[in-house]
Amino acid sequence: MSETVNLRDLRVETRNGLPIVEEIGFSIAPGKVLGLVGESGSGKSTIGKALLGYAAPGLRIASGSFNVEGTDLLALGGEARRRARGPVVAYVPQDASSALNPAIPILRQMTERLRTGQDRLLASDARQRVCETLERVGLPTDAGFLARYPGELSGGQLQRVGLTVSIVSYPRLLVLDEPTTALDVSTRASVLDLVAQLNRDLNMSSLYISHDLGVISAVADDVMVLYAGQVVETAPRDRFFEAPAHPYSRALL
Amino acid sequence: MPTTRRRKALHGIPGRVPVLAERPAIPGCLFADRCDLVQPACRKALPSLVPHGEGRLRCIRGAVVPDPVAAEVVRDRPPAAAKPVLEVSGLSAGYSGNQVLHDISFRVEPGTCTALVGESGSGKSTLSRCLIGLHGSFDGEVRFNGTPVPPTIRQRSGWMHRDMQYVFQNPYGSLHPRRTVGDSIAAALRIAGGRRNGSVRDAVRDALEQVAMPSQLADRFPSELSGGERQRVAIARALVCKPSLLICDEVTSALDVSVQASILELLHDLMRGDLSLLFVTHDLGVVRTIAERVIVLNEGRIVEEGAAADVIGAPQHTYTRSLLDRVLEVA
Repeated sequence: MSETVNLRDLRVETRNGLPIVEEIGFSIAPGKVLGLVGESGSGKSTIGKALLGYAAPGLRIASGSFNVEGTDLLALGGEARRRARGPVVAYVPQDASSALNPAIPILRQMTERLRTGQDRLLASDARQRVCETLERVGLPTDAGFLARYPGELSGGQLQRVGLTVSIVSYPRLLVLDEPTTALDVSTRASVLDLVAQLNRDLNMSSLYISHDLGVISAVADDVMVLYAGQVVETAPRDRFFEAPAHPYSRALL
Repeated sequence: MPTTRRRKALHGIPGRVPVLAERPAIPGCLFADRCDLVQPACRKALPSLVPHGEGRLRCIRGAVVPDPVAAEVVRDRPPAAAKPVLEVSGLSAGYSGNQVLHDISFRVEPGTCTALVGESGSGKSTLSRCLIGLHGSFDGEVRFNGTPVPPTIRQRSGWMHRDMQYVFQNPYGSLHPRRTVGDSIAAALRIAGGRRNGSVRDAVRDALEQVAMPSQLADRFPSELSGGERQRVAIARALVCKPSLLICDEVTSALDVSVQASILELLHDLMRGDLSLLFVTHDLGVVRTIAERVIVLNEGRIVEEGAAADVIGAPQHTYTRSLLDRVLEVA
């Protein structure tokens, strides 16, 4: 029943018309992960944020269409766009600890979207949904844990809480922006396993942004290489790592 | 990127990504300036993204001919000379009664790179600080070019200061922010002694050239340089004294893949001379790229030691194996 998500001809530019990224397009089938690779400054995060309809101050989304289940997300404005964030497209930031409010217990931060967004669940229902999701990501669900503040969790736990916030409304597309860069080797491996498993179980499409080719080869089905704001190569994972076609891809490997 | 699977030569991508404002002025392929396969046709028009196999590609050549990357980089080494550069025997050290290093013994042969590998807390930094004289006190003996080395740097003689140099992990913290790069390098010469004022400027220029940096950069401040450039300056500052042993403490871990490759390439080239390296790191891919010998340290003890190909290809100790298992590799 889920459909492939489709991005066409995305262009993000500065106010005076200089392109940051241009001619960006891809499709991701349900349950699949597209890995987006490039050096610092190539525009990876700009694309990830544009999928949520967001452009950093001074930038604007100049053109493009992004189809998820028959709706063009980039054509939505204001309130409709806000409501799409969560159930349709969700974002996992690089550093979960800075994305969470240090002064609010984690339960309230995890249920917030369910209480106020499209779902408008009752407190008890929202709590149950969060607990189901916490079990999925391998975190405890007892009252003591739910009452904790972000500062009382480890880095790996925080990244899982961040992931819970993002997937609790079962989005069609999950955008992961370098979620494992700040984690050590063994925590990173377990978060990557989790991402792959969630993708299969929830039948989501995922865009995984990273500059680390080791991570990409572990998690992605397809690879897209970005250079100076343009796509230079896309390929299935195995073909890409066996025989990269673009000189830049080859230089990265 | 470095890998533990084979020994491969690393090359940084020369040049840099075009700046936004320059982009409209570039007529052809944006990657042309950094591409080693560039042809005149590449600069005529921006290639479009066309179907290529199961994916798409933006390059007029179609696909590049894959080069035989699997070829091992074998350096011809003279047979080990009689006298090791560095010889450590029975070294133990700790912090206020808490013993961190237990009975460490190893040697570094001239013109080779020895890697010291271990996780955080294994004692690898303490060991390298003992060797350079920053730790104060340790038991056991360290011989440098055959001469016993006193524990603290103040007790060491001038030639020892010059001949054994140290490059710190963090290029953002190890350079004086209010001193130009040239002054920092010159200061190393003055402190280590051995040169008259007239030749200092030439020595600074030579050192910068050795690390592939233009000598005009001598007038810049560290804040005006990128991370990779700063690490090059830190290496130049060590090289200006013409050392025979360079101790590198995680010199590449703060840098991104392409910059990391160019620093490793640089160190590799420097070893063509008589320089020996003691390379402290937790990155096994880097070890496979640069080192001939590997010492694996766990909780302050050497658990495995041997040729890099053997230790990484067929690790004997369970700890080495568990380290290797957790390395994420490009499949």
